Amino acid sequence: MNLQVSYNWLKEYVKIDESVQDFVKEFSLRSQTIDRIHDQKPKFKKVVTAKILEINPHPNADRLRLATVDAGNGQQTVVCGASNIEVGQIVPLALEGGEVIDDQGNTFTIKKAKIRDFESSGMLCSQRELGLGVDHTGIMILPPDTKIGQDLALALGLEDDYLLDIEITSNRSDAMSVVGLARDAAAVLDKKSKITLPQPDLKSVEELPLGVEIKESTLCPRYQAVVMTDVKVGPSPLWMQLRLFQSGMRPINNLVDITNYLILEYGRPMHVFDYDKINGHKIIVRLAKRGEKILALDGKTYELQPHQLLIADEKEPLAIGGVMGGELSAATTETKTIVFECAAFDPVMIRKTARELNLHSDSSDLFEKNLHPETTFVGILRAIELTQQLAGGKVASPIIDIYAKGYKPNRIKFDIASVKRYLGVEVPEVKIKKILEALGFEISGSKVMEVTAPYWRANDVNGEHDLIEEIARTYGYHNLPTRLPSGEIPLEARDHSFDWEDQIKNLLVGLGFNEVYNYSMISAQLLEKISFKPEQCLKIDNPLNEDLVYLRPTLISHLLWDISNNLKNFSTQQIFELSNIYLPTKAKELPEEKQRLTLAMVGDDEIFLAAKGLAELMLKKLGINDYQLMLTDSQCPIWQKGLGLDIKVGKQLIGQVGIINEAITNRFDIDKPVGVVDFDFNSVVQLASTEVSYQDLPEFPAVERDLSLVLDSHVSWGEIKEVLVGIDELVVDSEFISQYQNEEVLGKHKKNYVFRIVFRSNKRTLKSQEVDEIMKKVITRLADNFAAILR
Amino acid sequence: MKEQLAQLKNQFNQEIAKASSEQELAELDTKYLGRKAGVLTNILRGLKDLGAEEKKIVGPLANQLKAELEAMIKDRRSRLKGLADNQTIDVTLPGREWPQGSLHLVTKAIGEISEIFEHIGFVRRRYPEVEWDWYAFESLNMPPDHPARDEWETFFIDREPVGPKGQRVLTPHTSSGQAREMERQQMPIRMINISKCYRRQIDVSHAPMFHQFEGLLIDKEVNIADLKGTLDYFAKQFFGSDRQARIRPFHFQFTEPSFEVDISCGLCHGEGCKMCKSGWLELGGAGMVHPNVLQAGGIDPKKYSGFAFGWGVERTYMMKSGLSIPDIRMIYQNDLRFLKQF
Repeated sequence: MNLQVSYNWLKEYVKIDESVQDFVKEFSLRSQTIDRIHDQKPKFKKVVTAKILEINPHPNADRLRLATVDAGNGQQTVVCGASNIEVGQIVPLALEGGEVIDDQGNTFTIKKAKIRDFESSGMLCSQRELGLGVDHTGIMILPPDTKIGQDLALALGLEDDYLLDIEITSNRSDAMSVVGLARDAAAVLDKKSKITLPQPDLKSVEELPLGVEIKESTLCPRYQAVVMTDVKVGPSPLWMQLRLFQSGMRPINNLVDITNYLILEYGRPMHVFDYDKINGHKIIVRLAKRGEKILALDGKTYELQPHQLLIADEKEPLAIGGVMGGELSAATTETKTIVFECAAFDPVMIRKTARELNLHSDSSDLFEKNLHPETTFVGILRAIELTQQLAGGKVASPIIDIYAKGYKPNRIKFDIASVKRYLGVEVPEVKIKKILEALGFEISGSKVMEVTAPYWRANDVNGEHDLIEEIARTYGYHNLPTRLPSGEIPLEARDHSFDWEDQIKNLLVGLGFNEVYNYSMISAQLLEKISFKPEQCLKIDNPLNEDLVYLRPTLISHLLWDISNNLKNFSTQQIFELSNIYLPTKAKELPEEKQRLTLAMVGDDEIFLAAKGLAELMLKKLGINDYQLMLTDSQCPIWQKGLGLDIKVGKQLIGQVGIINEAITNRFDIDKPVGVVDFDFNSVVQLASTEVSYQDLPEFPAVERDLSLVLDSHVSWGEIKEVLVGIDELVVDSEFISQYQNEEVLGKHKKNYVFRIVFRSNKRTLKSQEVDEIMKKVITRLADNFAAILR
Repeated sequence: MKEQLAQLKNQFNQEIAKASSEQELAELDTKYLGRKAGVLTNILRGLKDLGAEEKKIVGPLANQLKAELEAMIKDRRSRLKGLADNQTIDVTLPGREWPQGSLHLVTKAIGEISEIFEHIGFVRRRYPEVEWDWYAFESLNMPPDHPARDEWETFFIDREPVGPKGQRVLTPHTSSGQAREMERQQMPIRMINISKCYRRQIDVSHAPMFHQFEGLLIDKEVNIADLKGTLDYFAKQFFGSDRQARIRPFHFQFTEPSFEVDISCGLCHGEGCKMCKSGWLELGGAGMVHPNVLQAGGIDPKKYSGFAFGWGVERTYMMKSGLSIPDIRMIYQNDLRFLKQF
């Protein structure tokens, strides 16, 4: 949670002598992080306070009005577009040559100008135009007692202030206020605290009856209330308004402003009811009835559920407990007698209610952070004090306090030896005691102490480790030594799959492949495009949008999607991804997560052979040599018929390679064949090996003979190769060189294959005649088997 | 005779230095090595008339010289040829376009990060990405209904718990691996987990899938100084030896004390500038493992202590390289024009 507070306000509660920069640095290192310092020196120039004397309609424009104002030196007329101004109000007037801020945050200079034929000699300003807040719905209205004709910066006391933007961690609800921050600053920076308990006059002039009944003491462990009468509702003084402005709140009237001010000052949400609107003068804290409705202060009606907490009277709901007050029981300008509520609520209930109603207020935000019941006391005292000062109210009841369980402080057994264990340095006992006591802890004993947490830390300090943190941060983490851990290094074999990942990725990059990363989540549409059934995939219960609903069981679909998206810029593409796929196992079990390495390529003239060659190169680099490639099941809808191969080692299927079925590529608007290699990377890594068996280099030269044959087009290279293997022990290899097809030259259903046969003996240099003999045999055999004709 | 050979060599050297065309070289070749009347050829031919003693000495010398002269002519010839070729190739033509592969920037970042930690004995591990709620939250000191859970906008597979370990979730952080690692009961632990994480957020600075890395060290006598040392080591290795890490108080449920880790700004070196907060850049979270977390993982917090740290891979990499990618989602859109820049 971020809080914006005035530095000058903070200094009212803790004595700070150093510069704001030094304070911010030290405080951030030991307490809460101050993200930014905003200099409050006004961004505006030549803006003065002025009183509105007269308002007339603009003769030429319905939306504009002519305001005659007095800025202390005679009258002048300005054209104004805002609707919230009234005669008698004091407003900021930017004079000619003055500077204010536009909606982009840039300064602009006020010039005398004619607006629809009427000259305007200045401008009335909203908060945003002055850089004092975000409100720009109307002109900023200053309190009626503001002196007119004075410089606005002076009137607001802004000259030497800074706004601190502080990020307060969720466990420190005690520090989510000016007083809370000042208390922590005083303790961790060893400074003098100026915090005192509020001193209201608690003598009641008359006793007005008020009943309070708590039906849900778990959800509302403490409820304090007080009646005050003779209050005069009106605007709050400028200093209070300004502090609300600075922290992003909008002044309303003195009573509402007091409750908002308390949120900032003590981090204590309060509520104020109009006493006369509480039926039977009785407050009941109870669960809502099903469907019970309340019109809240935001003007909306909320329908409540039976697990949500209501503050009600004998007849109807008054407020949604801890979240927002009701419109009907709110204090208005006519209100004379009020009830202040200062209560504690169950944080989980508040959080659920705020979420369920989608209604988040400053109050619910604080209650969610778990405000301790002990903190209500100071809140109600301060509320009474401020009401007496600013609204002339008088106490008209005792402070009612329903506190079912009472308070038992946390006592923690603390062996100070553990300080060294965590900090790595010895901190003297005297220093430990000093630190803890400054933070409000009470200590008894020595070496092994009994430590009692102050009530404001009762929620977040529960054990020894919490005390160690307090000591460590005050001591200063930056003052602790910095050294590499000295313990032993775990004796474990590396997981080599990471190395294989690196090797394969680097190989592919070297070959010109681009690595992609797609989301693990996929849409039903993309699954269906590659003939996967979404209902067989793992589904997310609360997806962000329909593109991210299922956990993908294949990478192919995303790769086709990527190729399709890139086609307009790249006609040739080679991409790959190495990521997990997710295969549902049994219902209510974790899915099987398998690493998949998938490559896709488009734009090569011989895309099938390119993909196949790539798969084989990768297998070779992985040290997998005993694999077979065989036609995949023709029922598999992924591959173009007859152009999909299974990659197998023994009976184990470790991948596939081929051309994606044209029907699928069409669905992705890809108009060219796409070659894909799809490896089960877990299996591949298991089979991979870095072992190499060295083979002696040949001692005698090889003889090579090329052969060009015309064949029937159905004869495959595989069949020819099979014939060549073992035809003679001197034939050690055969290499395919090229193919040629031309009906006019070769005849129908014919093709021409050119290949090379390599002969070698490891005992002697071969003679030309013996090779010729074998060649004759080869040609005869090929002619017999395939009707091959020499070309 | 020996002197005669030396003189011949000198003369040849002078002449070949002047030869500036193929024709001159050919003439030189004929003059010295010509089959019929080459100067050196004649000498070699006359060897047979020498006495046995002299033949033994001069023979090899003359043959050696012949080889030398041949080599020099060949060398000179190829150099002349090179000059000639240069005049026929337009060197301003574009070089051949070789396919330009690229590793994804996340892979690059992961590679650098894991290498740095492996050097100080951290072992890289893999854990499930679809994980039980118990590992993602409960074992990390965040029981059901704990408000801290709200900070992780979590994707759920199941709406309600389906077993003793709750719902299945997509890991919202790499800390889900902590209890899994501890359950192996192999001490000491120095583990690094770099993995995909998922959160229900999508805008210019959030992608619903991203990467985190997490270090966990558990041993006897581990303290904050060890954590500071490890973070500082990483800062220097990853960002540069002139950089420093510091820790500030923060709060996480699964560590106590908890820290926010900052690194000194590389632009202003700690002075404070537009890019940083008063000289420091926020890197991520760290802390001493909470005793409740050790217990959840079956480790006795009285005997062992440890630290953990973890933060975003993409962000850390962008901080290092000073990349300003306007929309973080571009990292996962796989536009080749983007990818080929890495």
